[in-house]
Amino acid sequence: MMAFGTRITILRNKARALWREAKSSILVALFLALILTTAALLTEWRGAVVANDAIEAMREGRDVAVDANDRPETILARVAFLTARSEVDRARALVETLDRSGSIETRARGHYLLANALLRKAFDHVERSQLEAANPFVNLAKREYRRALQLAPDYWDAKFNLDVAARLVRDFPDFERKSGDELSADPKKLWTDIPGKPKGLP
Amino acid sequence: MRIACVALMLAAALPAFAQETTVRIRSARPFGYFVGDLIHARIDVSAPADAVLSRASLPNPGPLTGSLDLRDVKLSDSSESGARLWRLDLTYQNFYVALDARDIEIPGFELSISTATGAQTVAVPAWRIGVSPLREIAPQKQEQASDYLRPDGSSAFVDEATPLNLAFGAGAAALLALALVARDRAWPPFQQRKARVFSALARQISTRRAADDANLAVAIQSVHRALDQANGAILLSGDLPEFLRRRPEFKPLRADFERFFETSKRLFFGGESSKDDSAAEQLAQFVGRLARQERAG
Repeated sequence: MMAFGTRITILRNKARALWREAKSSILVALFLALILTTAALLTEWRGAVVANDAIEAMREGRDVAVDANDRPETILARVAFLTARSEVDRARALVETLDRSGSIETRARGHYLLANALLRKAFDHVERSQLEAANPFVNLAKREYRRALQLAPDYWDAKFNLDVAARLVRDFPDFERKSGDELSADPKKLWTDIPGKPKGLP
Repeated sequence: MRIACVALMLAAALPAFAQETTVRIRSARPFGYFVGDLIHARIDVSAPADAVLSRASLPNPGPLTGSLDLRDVKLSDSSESGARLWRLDLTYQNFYVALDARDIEIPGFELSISTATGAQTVAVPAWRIGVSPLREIAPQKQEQASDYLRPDGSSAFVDEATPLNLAFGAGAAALLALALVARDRAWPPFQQRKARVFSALARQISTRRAADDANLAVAIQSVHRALDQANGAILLSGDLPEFLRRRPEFKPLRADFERFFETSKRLFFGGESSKDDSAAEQLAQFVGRLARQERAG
């Protein structure tokens, strides 16, 4: 039986021989792989620069066309651009696109921006005393805030704004079903803090 | 999930199985939930050892009421001193917008278990948690209605630095790999690289010594061949001064050279045994020094 050390030596020599044989091809393969990696990373960086240029432009108020294949950040910047201008329907289409591709945070923020735009529309109606017309916008906004919170439960801005929206229009049916006495206590308080309450009323 | 062992309520289920089936609901805290907060509850159901829980009777994630979602249901089961223990980890999300601190109800549900005596229903009772408001009931008057809202916030940029840094790193590594390839294939500027005759020989000798088939005569012969190769012609002891003049890096080893030629002569012409450990050791050291001088030169 061969000594253990000898066997180790033989094994090492075999490995060395194999390495000498394969060294050239391994080095070439390594070189090619690294070149490809570099190219991919540079492409990625280039894409990031283009996306950031578009985001910067939209932050400064210039509209940039965006399609579904763009980066989630770019789409989100366009959602912010549209919602700031109350273009709710076009923003909603993009938020739906985000839902298919974006990260959780991006999607939550998209829903939050959309909800803010909807709620601002509702405020416009309330200020013009069109309470009936404001109703659906508040409810849509609440749904979007809820969606944002379902995605990101720690989204404090969404919690706060959902609170604002929910005090504009309460969810009565739920109360009626669950417990009757809560309902009787609320409505008086409810309308006291509508922010857009016409001035001059008691 | 940090479920402190705050037992919310300890409810013995239906009286008929009061001794056998118990339900215990625990939550991390039964108060202080804002809108959107997650409520973690742990429900322990213990039952007789032969009971089987019907998975279909577990509550399904989804909206439970207009202001409460069930997000996640996890079941783990274990046996403990002759009883089955099912542990349900439930995650609810509260969407109730409270105007003041108050309790809301988490609805109960029923679990079906089957035992040897037949199917049973275990009722997990409804329980209550306290929700809290986020804002004053009557906030300060604002100029504009939209001032009541938290702002939109500004858009985030895409991370540019990471891919660029990584690209630099990969590019540098690629250049290094290219240099290695060039060296391997003796491309310029590596075409001048001399063959390392003695390094190869030193490696070969030490391998052979380790494999224990060292033969002094064979080793000495291979050293002669290597010296011939370094000299460009056959090197005899008489040619030594000429060789050392041409390869000055080997000058410090003159004494070793002379001893080597001496040993060689004794072995091949003096009829000495080729099993000489000290001579073999000396030879290995000589070749090692040659290799070192060769690398330095």
